[in-house]
Amino acid sequence: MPPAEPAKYTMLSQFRISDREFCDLRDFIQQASGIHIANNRKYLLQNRLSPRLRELGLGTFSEYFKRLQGPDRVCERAKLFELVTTNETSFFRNPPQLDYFRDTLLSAMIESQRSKNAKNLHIWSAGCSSGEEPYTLAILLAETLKAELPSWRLKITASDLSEAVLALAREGAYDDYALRTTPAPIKAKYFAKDADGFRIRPEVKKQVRFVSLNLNDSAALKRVETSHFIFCRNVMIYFDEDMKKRLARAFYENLTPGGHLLIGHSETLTGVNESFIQARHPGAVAYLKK
Amino acid sequence: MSETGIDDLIPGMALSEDAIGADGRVLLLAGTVLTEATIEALRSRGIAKVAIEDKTDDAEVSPVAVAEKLLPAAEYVSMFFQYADPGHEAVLEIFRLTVDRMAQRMAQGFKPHMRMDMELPSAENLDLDDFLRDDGAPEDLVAKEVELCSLPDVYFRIMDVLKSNTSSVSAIAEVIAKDPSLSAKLLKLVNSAFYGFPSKVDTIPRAVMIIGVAELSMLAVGVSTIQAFSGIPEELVNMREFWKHSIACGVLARNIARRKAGISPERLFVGGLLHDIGRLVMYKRLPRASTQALLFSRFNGLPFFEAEKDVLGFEHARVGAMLMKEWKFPPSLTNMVKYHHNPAAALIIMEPAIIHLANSLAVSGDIAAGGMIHFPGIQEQAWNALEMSVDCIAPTLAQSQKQISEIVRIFLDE
Repeated sequence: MPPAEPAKYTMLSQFRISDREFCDLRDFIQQASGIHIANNRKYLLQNRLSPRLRELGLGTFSEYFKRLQGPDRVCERAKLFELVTTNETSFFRNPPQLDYFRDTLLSAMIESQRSKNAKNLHIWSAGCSSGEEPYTLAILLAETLKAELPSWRLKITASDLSEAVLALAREGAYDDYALRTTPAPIKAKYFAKDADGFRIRPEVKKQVRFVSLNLNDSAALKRVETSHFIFCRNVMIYFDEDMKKRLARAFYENLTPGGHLLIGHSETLTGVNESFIQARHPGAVAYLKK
Repeated sequence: MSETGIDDLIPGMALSEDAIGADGRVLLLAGTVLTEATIEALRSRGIAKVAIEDKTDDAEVSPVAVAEKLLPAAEYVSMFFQYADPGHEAVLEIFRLTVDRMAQRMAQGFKPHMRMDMELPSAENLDLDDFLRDDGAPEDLVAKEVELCSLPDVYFRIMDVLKSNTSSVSAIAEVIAKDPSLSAKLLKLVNSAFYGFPSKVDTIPRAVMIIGVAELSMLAVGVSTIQAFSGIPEELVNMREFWKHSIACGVLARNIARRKAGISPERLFVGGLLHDIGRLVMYKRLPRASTQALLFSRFNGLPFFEAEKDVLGFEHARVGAMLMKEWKFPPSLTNMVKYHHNPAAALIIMEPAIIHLANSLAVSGDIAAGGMIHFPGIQEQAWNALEMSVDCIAPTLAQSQKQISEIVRIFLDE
């Protein structure tokens, strides 16, 4: 039997967000996470959240808004933030930038640390999503230090707002798609193939510490230990100008002098933070703290 | 299902089983619709044959089989309608028609994948961008393009004729006849279902007489501009898919325009044909940033122009219009391109509004064909300006279908 006629429209139109509900929700998201939702994305917000309302058995966005303040608020807010941003990541993303990092910035930093007899490095991957970026960095460190690796104290702090993606990251299992830009020898060396795909090897995994962190929480940002490098790629794109400025300032304060901030291929700190010095290379820019 | 040799594969065929490489890895999933790039990828991995879904385009499927697929089709299609207002009558109608077409295809055996991370473009092997975010502007892209990309001579001669007040049938026919490939395409176009003339038009002077000097010149400008764009890496943008979408937009725009008095359907056809040329410029000059915009669009439910604004700081409509201005296209044509995502900002809304609707309909067709792109919505002011009944949408789409495939053949295959 053909399904009843209206059934096929429910996907699109079961829940309506009023202008008032949209403003409340938009302001709440901005306040809680720094994520900015432009007014012309009202329907996008409505359509992305509708399945969640249905799942919860709620009837209106006002009820959903109440839920975000209720006893389940921590869990529900995390869900909400996951639904409004979807970061696409893969291993070895943006090779020109990673080459610049490995061949120029990292080797200089290693040299400098060696000369100070301080064989330690801390890298912060801010907005690490499902772990591709911090694991890539751990592999790059291992490839660069080679036999010297055990004599170094290395730490990668990988933070994200979303518990769900952090759980994936800690799991460390990936499919072909996440690895589509990974060179074959690296894949063979640092991943174990199993029935479901590829699993990051324990010796890489143990270099990375995953933490849940809200980039809008200035006190939490201050607690991150001093970094030699910060990677925050394609994260600030979701934030408004004010939040970008606060975050760039926090990164600046976190970095050790001589440390670098690396952001997404199409992102810029121009007009956001003028304390950093741009270090330029074909196809890549890094931001140096003097 | 049938086993098909690698040399017999053509874009548009769908895999009925996973394509497995020599090392046992899945190269492409069942249901994948082949493109030139994926066929090449299979070839380069030494695949000799793959299992292809039986050609079912015209296959009869029972209404019951289609009805059974309505819900999964709606679920799939709604992934691509997140940006649009689901309360808008035109959006609802286009959604309904897209679901119907997807259900039809699913009943014929098409299996769309329900994950957004399938068939992702990759920028990793592309050239570096001309500049990074801070170091350049759309003006630089256009200047470079004007410097490097030469329009065919015939384009300038047609523009001269169009501008002179003495443009006569013989003058324009003479100019067009000097370009045999252009003449052939125009004659095929004039003899296609697009025009539906009862008897064959076999010379350019005759075509000019029937269609009109200004109209045929306009068509010639559109066709010769397509020829000017080549050399864009296939892994970045499938040129065939790009022009298919553009042709669909052009045909739909023309058919919408025909319902309106005082609007040249040919000009709207060419406006539709060229509405996205800004994207080609961006792909050529900023391949990596453009790919990133594409991914950002895919994952965040945003239409391209919105993702471009987020990622690059500007969007393709502006770039396209700037290029057309440099190339001295008629301002009416430039405005259609410039305002096709925001007709309300145009001084005169009607023509951009037609391109706006035509583009949304063309995107809905792409989605029904399995393309993973997000529906750009319908602007309220544009829809109101068109004064169209929603009941006209289905017949316009139906009427355009055959014309689109015919023109795709004429422009891209022959």
